[in-house]
Amino acid sequence: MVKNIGLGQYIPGNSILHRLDPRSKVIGTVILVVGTFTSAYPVETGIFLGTVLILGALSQVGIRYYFDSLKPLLYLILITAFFQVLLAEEELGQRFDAALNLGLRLFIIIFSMQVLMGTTSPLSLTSGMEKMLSPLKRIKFPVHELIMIMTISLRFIPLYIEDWERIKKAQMSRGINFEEKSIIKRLKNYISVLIPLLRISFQRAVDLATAMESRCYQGEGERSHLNVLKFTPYDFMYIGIIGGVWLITIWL
Amino acid sequence: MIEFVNVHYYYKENSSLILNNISFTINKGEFIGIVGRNGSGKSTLARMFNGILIPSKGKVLVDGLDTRKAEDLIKIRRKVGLLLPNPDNQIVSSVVEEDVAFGLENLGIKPEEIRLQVDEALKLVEMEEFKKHPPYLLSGGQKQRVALAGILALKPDYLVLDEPTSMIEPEGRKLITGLLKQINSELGVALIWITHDLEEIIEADRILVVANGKVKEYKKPKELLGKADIWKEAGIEPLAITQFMQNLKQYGIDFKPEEFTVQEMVDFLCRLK
Repeated sequence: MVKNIGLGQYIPGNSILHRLDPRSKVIGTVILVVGTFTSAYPVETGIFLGTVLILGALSQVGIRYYFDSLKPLLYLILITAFFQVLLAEEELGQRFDAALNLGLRLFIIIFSMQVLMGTTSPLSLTSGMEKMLSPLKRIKFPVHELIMIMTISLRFIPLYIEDWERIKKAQMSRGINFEEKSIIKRLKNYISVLIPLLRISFQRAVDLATAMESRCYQGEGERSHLNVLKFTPYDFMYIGIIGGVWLITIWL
Repeated sequence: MIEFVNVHYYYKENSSLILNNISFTINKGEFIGIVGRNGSGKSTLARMFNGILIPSKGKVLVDGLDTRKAEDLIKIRRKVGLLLPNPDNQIVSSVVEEDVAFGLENLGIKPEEIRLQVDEALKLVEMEEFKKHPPYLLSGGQKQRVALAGILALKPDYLVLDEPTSMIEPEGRKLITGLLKQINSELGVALIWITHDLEEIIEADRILVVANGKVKEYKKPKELLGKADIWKEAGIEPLAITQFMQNLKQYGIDFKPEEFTVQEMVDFLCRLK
């Protein structure tokens, strides 16, 4: 079993955020992301940071979830900040400020996405997206197909990570060195992982199609849902509060 | 009743036949075992029951509905559930209860009705406490029970099981085997159980032996299980008890072919004493 799959993983729970409609959470996240990009450093960015940290606490999915999922991305944030310090044209003090600003914004954006993914099951998230994108059906945009692809992709991410780890270990036990100094050799060695992974993926795709058809799946059709999406006053409150935070930062 | 009438199947015209003139019937509530070596056509056969594959020649009828008619396929698939070997490849959703609801959602059933049937199916497979769990946190046996619940939620009359225990741990295997037999005996759902393991189908009403795409035998277990030569030809490991009796025969201790269960063997040996 794979441990520490934090990135994009839903953590079941019953917090206020878990109970919100996925559409209000998506709208809230979009406001947070756009607001963070357009905010000025440090006061406004600080307000957004405070907001996402409060949301993180309200989500009740545990600090470990955020820590595990952000750990691999911290390198990305640090590298981006490092290049900002190295390549920017301002004075050194300003460069550090700019790097911190950039790093902080990236952190806020990733964190807000984690709050969304951690408190919304993929199926409910995709149902929400399907509803939000439904006007596009009028111009014959394949909304349902796109959403089904997203649902299945999200479901299979942990499986492919597991397969990747298993095949890699099997190939290592057969003498393949994934720690070669030469990048070319290392990449070549990874082909021995990719080919079996592709083969497994095709088998999975065939089996999944069979299982879905066997359970009466016929594309868009007249589908219903176990959990019916419904906006409650809490959803309007949530959007109102996040929107309010954004308006305050604009006013500042 | 499910009827296979002179079913042939090939991937391309003029290529070799995967299924060659197969005919048999299965009644409601029956427990049928299907055995055969790898490549004998068992899995192709499994996919014929609910119209995933359509015969190249001949026909498959499910309670009179023809799998060749596209308009009847949904009715047929509601009647005939298909469980595959690898549970990971059949679970669609990232939360157990949402996956169990998938089939019902496809039929456009009302949410409150879906909720009832999902809870009932999860209770049946003893997985109700895991309904909010993501499947990746479950063991192989538990995942297979979730996949089974997803099929049972549709209340099928027939359950096609394509090696349902081949990819799960021994403990989970035992539980699944018990559950399936209970579903057959208590709910009257017919089981069509494809396997390599004769132990799993020892209680079947009939066993269908497939070899090279043809039906070799279709008889009661008592008429087949004790005959080691049939299994040798079909490429299946006979029951340990059959091998044991075969060895006894070499020492001049004869037995009746139907004496194949452990208890019957014990009785037989006690009689010798």
